[in-house]
Amino acid sequence: VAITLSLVYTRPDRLRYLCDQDGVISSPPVAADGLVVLPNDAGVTPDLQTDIATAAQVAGVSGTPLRALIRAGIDGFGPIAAGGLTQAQARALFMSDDAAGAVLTNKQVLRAVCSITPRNGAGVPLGSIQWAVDVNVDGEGDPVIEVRSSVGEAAAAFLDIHLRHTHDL
Amino acid sequence: MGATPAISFQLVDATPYRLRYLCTTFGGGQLPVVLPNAGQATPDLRTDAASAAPGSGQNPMITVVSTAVVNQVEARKVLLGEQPVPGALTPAGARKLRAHCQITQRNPAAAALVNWDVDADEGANAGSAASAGFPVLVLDLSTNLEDGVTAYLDIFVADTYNR
Repeated sequence: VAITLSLVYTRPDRLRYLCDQDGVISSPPVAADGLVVLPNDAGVTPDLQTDIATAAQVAGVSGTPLRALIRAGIDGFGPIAAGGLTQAQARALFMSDDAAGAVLTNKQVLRAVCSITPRNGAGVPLGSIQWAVDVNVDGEGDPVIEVRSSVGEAAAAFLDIHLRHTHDL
Repeated sequence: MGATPAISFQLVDATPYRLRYLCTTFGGGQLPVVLPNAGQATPDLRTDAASAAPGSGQNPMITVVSTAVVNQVEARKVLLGEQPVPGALTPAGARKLRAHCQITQRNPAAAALVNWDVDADEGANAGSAASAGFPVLVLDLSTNLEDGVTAYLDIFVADTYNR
């Protein structure tokens, strides 16, 4: 695995992961050298369902709004019916990417933003490793987070999945 | 007619506190690229701020992007929250609403990831005559060889609950 994810911070409205790029390029190079998918299967951490359950447990609450977004493909959410999401729906929920209200016509529906912040890599020239984050869906239509980086150097970054507050809508 | 801009902007989210644009590259296009503030068709800061479905009766984003500026220092103060002397009074007073901007790379497609830069300037100074007297955003790329490299540009009103 070229990029590993470790859950490093939880709140009911935020998950933060440390993303470690080991810098190794396979021979021949493969896409996985610069791509990791944060799954949504209730498996071992890192996993969206598992980790938001941890966040709720740590906070001493029974459920969190961010959990409802993570389970949107299973349970449905707001105007989105249960039964699997499209990538456009997943981006609307997790990237607040909803041009002209095409997916979430009700602007009051909760949504999240994903961001990525480079940390450091010993000896790595600043800017030599770039990071990106996107949202997609897995085979069951559950939202998953795709983290990409350029390759060839060891580096680290923080991935934040942050529920936006009603106040901000 | 000028060269095709290297970056296109699509407004994908607008609230009274946030504007989010999907930025997509056009390989070989002209850099840097200005996101105007002229009250014209989207993408345009004032137009897009006004399009937000209000969560309350207020829209501080309109207040921010409608702030008149005379130079880049003032534009950076308004849109990037850059105060050369922290806490110093500005000619218009210290407690004005400010914004912050942030770039998040999304999907590089088959392209290599690139550096995105975001800066602010006074409209005419940045090359947008229609935005004269108002702050605009100026985006640049470290390299621009491919189409379809994407990133999100966020403009937040600073000091709101969520930012």
